[in-house]
Amino acid sequence: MKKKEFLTALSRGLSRLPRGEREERVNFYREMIDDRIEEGIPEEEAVAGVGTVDGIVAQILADRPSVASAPPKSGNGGKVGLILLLVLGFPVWLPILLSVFITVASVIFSLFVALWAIELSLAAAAVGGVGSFFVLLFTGQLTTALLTLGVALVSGGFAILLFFGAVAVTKALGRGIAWILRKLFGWLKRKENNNDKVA
Amino acid sequence: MDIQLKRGLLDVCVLAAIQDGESYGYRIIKEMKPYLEMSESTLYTILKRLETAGMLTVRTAEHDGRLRKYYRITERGRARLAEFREEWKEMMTVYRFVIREENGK
Repeated sequence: MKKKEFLTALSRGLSRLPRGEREERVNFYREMIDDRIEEGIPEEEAVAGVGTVDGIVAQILADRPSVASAPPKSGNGGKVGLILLLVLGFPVWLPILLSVFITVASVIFSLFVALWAIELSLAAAAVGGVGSFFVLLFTGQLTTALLTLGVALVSGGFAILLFFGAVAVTKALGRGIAWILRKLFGWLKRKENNNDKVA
Repeated sequence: MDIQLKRGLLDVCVLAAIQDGESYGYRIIKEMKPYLEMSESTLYTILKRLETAGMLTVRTAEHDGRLRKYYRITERGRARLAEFREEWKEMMTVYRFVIREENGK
């Protein structure tokens, strides 16, 4: 490995350190390699002489436990802050989350009920229409009877079409609910396992 | 070896490496090599610690078109070395007593 390559990799490996310290450490290794080269050691051998990037990074981070266990901002610290925020914000976000969930669920439920209600009314209209047709036919009101039959058949047609649609929607909804429950139970189970491991 | 003891020993070794005049990182490592193998990152940590403790001073100077850091021992650093010699006289007395017991068996 060439010096430049090594120092770039080292700098990348130490990206958790504050910028000033990182540069100082990289410069320290640059000086060490340059001094070896000055002594007549070939570049690649001089680089190998100071150790491997991974080994150096591991040792430096181990020597600085504060950095290794609590990387600045983006790492664990941020996570802890986020968890704290979630816990403290509990009284605010829980009602909001619940109301959003309930609203969405009730809209879906009403649409579902409405769909089957329409389906039922169409079917009822078809059956009732056919019944009326016979009654009207026998009472001699031929024109009205034919009109009623026509309306009944149209309703029946729509009822049959809508029936397939409604069944498809019901199946999809069932799958959706099953999926959500599976996810929820899977998550709870994982949590339980994790807790077991900790204990 | 006990980590505190080892840390103390390494500090003293680095101070000893610059007691006869200022030196730089690679030379310190090279001079200690026959006695003690020390990695660059260990040396860096020790130099930092000694600098913070006021036992050495650092200056950056140009060398052959590049920068090199030179470390010079301070009075406090010399005092630490003297203290170490005294401590180890006592230590060696204890040590002789301990090996006398072993040799007696």
